[in-house]
Amino acid sequence: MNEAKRKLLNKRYRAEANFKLFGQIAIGLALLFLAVFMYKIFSKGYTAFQKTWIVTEVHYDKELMLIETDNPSLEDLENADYYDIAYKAMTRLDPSLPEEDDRQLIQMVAFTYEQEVKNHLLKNPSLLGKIVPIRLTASDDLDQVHKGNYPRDIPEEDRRVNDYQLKIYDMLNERGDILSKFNLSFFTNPDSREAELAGIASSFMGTVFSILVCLAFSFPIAVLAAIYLEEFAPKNKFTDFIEVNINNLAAVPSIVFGLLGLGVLLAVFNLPRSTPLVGGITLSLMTLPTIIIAARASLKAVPPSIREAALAMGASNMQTTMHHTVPLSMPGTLSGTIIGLAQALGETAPLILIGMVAFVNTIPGTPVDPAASLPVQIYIWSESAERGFVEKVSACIMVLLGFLILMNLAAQIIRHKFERKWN
Amino acid sequence: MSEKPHIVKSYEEQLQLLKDTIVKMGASVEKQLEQTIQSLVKKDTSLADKSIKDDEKTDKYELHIEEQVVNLIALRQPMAIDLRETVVALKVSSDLERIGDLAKNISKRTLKVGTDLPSDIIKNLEIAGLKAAKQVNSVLNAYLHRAKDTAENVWNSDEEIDQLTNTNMEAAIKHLEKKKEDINKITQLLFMLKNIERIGDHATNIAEQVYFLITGDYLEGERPKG
Amino acid sequence: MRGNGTNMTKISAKNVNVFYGSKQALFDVSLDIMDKEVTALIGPSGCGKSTFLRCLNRMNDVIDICKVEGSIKMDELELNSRKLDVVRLRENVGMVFQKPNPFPKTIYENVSYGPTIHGMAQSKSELDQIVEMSLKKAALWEEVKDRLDEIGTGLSGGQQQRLCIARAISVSPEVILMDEPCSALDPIATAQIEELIDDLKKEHTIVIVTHSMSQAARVSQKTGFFHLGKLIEFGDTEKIFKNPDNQQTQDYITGRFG
Repeated sequence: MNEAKRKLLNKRYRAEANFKLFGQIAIGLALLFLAVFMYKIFSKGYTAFQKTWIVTEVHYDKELMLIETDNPSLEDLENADYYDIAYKAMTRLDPSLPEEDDRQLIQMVAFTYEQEVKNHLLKNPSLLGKIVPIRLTASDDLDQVHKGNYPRDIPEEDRRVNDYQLKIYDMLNERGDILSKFNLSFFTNPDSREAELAGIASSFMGTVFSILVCLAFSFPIAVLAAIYLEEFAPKNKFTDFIEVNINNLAAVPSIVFGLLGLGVLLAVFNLPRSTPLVGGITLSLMTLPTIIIAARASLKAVPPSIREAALAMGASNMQTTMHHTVPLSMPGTLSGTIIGLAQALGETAPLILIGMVAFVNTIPGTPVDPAASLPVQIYIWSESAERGFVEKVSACIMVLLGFLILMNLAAQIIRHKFERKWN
Repeated sequence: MSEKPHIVKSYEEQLQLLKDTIVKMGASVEKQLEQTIQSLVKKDTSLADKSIKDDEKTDKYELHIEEQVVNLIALRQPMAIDLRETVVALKVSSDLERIGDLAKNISKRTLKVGTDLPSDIIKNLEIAGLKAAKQVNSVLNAYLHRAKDTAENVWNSDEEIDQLTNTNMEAAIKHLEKKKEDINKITQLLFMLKNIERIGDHATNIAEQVYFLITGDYLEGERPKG
Repeated sequence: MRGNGTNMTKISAKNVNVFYGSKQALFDVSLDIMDKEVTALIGPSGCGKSTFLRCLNRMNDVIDICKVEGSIKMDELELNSRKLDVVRLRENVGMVFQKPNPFPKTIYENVSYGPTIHGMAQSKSELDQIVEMSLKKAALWEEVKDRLDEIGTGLSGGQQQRLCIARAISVSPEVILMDEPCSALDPIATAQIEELIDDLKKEHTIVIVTHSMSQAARVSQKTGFFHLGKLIEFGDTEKIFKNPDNQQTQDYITGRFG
């Protein structure tokens, strides 16, 4: 080997090494971005899964509750007055406080504290007349203090929690009367103006209903369209035109579909506003081309030899398609569908346009009840001023990501387990 | 039919080698025959010795051809013209080997008889021998040049040798009636004559093979006999 | 090797021309396929032998741009007619392909598919019988009888191809077309298929396209040599392989093509 050749060879090796290095750097950067993103979300959001409680004592005093009978029925308990005993439960934390400053104590718990006192009794009617410990949801400000998100060393007038409240908090904390527990209500509560009470139940259900509606609309239409185009339609200019437009449709910005939903579904068909039904149909417009493309690809992937085998046995086109081609293409179609749905899951813009951005403090039971959706919920909360919503946004993102990961995992599993490898 | 070369060159070479070996074996047999006849004519026993010795060479050629044919069939599975080429080579080589054997046999008898046979009988023997040698030569040419007509001619003219053999045998018997003490020599002579006739027959066999090789058909009809 | 042919013509093709768009793939092909004989079609790749084979069960219909002219008669039925019921034809003319292509279903389902869609069995037991018979005829029964509910694609290549043959004969076709049925198989599996073909010709007329000339020589009674879309020579297999009339045929079978 002469010198020139050796040099050339070295150059080639070097070029390859450099190329590998650049590739590794690219991967490294991508991973770094992902890690930073995940870290931000998780470090901010994990606290949302913790809920802060204040433990105090409540006296279920019949007199104060204005109960007159000796043996009150559940209905009587339901109709009793809890205002006073709830109020007293809080004020007993600091009996020395002048009555006109009581609000300072009341502000330390969520405004639903009266309801919480009531629910506790309704669950255990035997507590009537007794003095029992009870835990009440801390206000979001106190919650943030407990989670260490509020700096305490700034001047009092810049703080949302005043010195007195901090003193009480410290006292309770020392006594062990501040509890931190898993925040179940984040998953079971609907949205709320109060951060400590706000949950994702309504938006989660809204998302689930939207996706189901979307699936119900897009899957049959897309699969039928794909089968017709792939197996039956003659190949001519018109079908080419359709094919091009399906691909175009997949590239249309989602907000355009939102406008379509607004203009057609709401204005022309008068479907109920802000509902998963309308949201799902709008999203299905978006998923439709994705599923058609995936279904056609997996129909194409079924080797012609299988079709030939069936045709040569005297099966009709329809039988060949339904008995052989479609079942074999199903795994690919399904995983494509799930990926399409996962895309729809993260859509915000079209939903905002069709009104799914409204504040909904009920949990939807059917697709025609008003609802939000997870990405829209993120959008709504990120607009809110309260400190307590910041962690909720991150937590909601985590739930959404979890949902997405689950769906993509399902798509992967279906693909790997059921998709045949044609050699 | 002029053939294009095979796509596989080594196959082409093997077939060519087979043809070449046949031609070489033919040359070897012709030489043997020539020596045999000349030893009679020139009364030179050393030529007869050579002819006997050369038969070993002829036998080796036959073995060599048989080996090539088996190889071709096993490894190349020849078809059509190539198949005929292969099969014909096998048969032609065995005919040539027989001719070589017969020439050797004549030479052996020449050594036994000595050289003092009557000259008219020697003359007849020479004519028949040359005729047979000519037949062998013609048929080998037919093989080499793929000449169908030549092969047919050889096939048709075997009759002449048969007739010549008959005439010669009658002459030999007549001689024996006159000179009974020559019984040993004449017996040898009869065998020699018969051997020459057999050489002619083998040449005819080869002619048939050459005809089959070229046309794929068999020479049909009863062969003219004397 | 002579067939047990009835010396009756089963399929008679006259002046068949096939076009793929503007490209002509077959030129004036005429040949007679004898009943209960094996007819082999040989020739270099792209010579039109498979195209001709696919005219016999109208598999060319699948290709939009394919146009077939001329007459192909099976008994008295004109195959190249618009009015022909293709489904009925394919019930009568089975096909085995180059690559074994069993359905990715169970062995049983593979064989029972044809009889099921053509409504040939009145009951489950009747269907069982057809499946068993077909597998036996395809010389596969002994190997698979205990695992009929296993997936057909899990068998070995040779077994898969015999399964495909079983599938083809399950509807008792009069004619079986084979498109290079052994090209993906090892020599043992090939020998098994060849033995099977020998057996099947007792009841079926077989047309086989093959790249292996020795295979054509071994299994067929008639051989047709195609080149560039033309039928160059057609005749008894013995004649074609010992002493073909046509120089092109000779060049092809002796490996002098070029």
